[in-house]
Amino acid sequence: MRTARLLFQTYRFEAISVLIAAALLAGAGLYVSSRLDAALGDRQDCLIQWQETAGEVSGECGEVARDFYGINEAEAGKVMAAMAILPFVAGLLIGVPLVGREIEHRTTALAWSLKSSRSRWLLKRAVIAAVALGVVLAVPATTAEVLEGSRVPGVDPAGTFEDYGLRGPLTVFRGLAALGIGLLGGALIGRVLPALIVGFVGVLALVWVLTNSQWAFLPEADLVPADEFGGIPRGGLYAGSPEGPLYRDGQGNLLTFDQVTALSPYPPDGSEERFYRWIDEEFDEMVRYIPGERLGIVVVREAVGLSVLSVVLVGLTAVVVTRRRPY
Amino acid sequence: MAGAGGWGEAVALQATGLTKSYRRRTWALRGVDLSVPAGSVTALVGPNAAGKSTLIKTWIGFERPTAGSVSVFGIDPWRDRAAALAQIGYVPQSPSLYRGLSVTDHLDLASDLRPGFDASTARDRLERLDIPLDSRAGDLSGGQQAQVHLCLALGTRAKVLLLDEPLASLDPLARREFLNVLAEAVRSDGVTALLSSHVITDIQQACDRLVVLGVGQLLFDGRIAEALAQHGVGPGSDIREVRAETEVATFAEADGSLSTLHRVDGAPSEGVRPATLEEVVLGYLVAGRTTRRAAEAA
Repeated sequence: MRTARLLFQTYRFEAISVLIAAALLAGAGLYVSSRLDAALGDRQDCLIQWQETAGEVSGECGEVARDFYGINEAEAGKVMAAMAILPFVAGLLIGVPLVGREIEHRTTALAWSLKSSRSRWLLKRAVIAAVALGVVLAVPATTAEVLEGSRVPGVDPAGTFEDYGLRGPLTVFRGLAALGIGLLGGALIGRVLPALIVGFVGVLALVWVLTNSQWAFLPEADLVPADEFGGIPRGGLYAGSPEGPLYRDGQGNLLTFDQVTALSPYPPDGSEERFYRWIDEEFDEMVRYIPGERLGIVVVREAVGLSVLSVVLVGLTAVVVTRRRPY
Repeated sequence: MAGAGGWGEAVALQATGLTKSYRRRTWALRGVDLSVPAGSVTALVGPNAAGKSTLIKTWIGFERPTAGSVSVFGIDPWRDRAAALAQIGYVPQSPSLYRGLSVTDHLDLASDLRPGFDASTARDRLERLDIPLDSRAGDLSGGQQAQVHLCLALGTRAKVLLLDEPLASLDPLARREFLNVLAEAVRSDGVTALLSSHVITDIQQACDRLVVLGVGQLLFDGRIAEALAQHGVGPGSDIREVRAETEVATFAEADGSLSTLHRVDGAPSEGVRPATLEEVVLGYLVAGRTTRRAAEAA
């Protein structure tokens, strides 16, 4: 507890800033959630009508739906956008000075002359910071789940890919990864401001990797006939297919577009209309679809990936801290 | 002031062929061989960029030798940092306290970081110095910050104190108080201290050994009493010329006149008076500079 108290006192500006941001966002999430619930009441049927008629609903039901979607877009959307940023900013804000400012202010000369193991010095403060950050981020992450429940009424937030990564445990794990990036940047550069800039670039790289490696976290998709599918049911995820559109023939064989083209008596550059009619007659177009119930698998996989990354980053920071000068 | 019980055979700090270069161009230390006996209070003197801080930082494991080795009671700080650090209390050149933490917080921090840290003794020392324990470190004067550093270093109950120019920015009164605390600790605990400083009067007051370092090279290493007994000063004629084997160097006095530092064996010869410590240091620094320039010219 003594270490935690001293850490908090040393980094109170950063800690209080993150606390305030998290509290504001949590409060905003709950407030907007209550506004959405109040706007909709028990008129979920109005949203169904709105979707079925592409917004051509008049009367009281139209008002209800307009109010609901207005709040959803203008207010809930902003809260979720802030939730996309908060974990990364909070992680960097806490992580960078944890080592970077110690080096910049030369307090490492005191700390490292007193502590026999720099790795343990780092590990102790990194663990305390990670636990504190995790607890703080868990609050807006939970209220964002509540907000999601209000944004998509009738769908369990734990069973929908809507606002993926902007709510729930993943926000905490993303914050911890940003903390690791901040730690490493601070230890390497030894100056807070440049390390924050480098850390920001590192976070952008992380976001890019997360965005472009979603396939690695996705569970096995179901193959669903596109005709029966008729659009993605709410909560599920159209997983796409690296080989392009897929077709199933009468014997149940799965073919790619190129394979179908090769079989076609009507080359697509001849008469496209006959070609596509022939495809419709001979094949079922299939899509890969991940039901919303499998969200948990994706979340666990990404959380494990981010945890491994965080541990690696802390390990690299330990190597840097052990080998570098304290100034 | 000698350490309690005088010097034994044990070597507290050792450097063997110690060489340190930065980016393979700037040489901070070149082949320094030095032994600091256990229980001694050694002054480390030299001009700016002589390598004093670098030497101290290699012992505490903040700088890695480019060549050669260092040890603290036989322990290489780069092979076994934990064991070496357990022997060392360190006062850095510039205050390294946490500006936002109080003095009491620093005692807690030290207790947290160093097993066996003697917080009560450190607190007693600070209270005797009238340092407000509730004040934030950032609000303390330079002298008070140096005293806090020293009390933290002493609180470790380490066998070796490395003091890297802690007096540089202190006024005379603060310097005197700092040295009194150091002297008391050395007397009571028998620790080995290495104090790097520019202020010769302080050295004479506090130390019993003298090491003169000149741009990375060891120029003098011996007891202060012997340094004074074995050197004399006579009039000098040419600052560049060293005419006899007994002459160390010719240097300019404060009034512009030239003096020559001589090694004397027994009674000083005619025209040679006993040297002050400042003259001994000056003479060896000039000698080191002359030798270096000659080597560079060659």
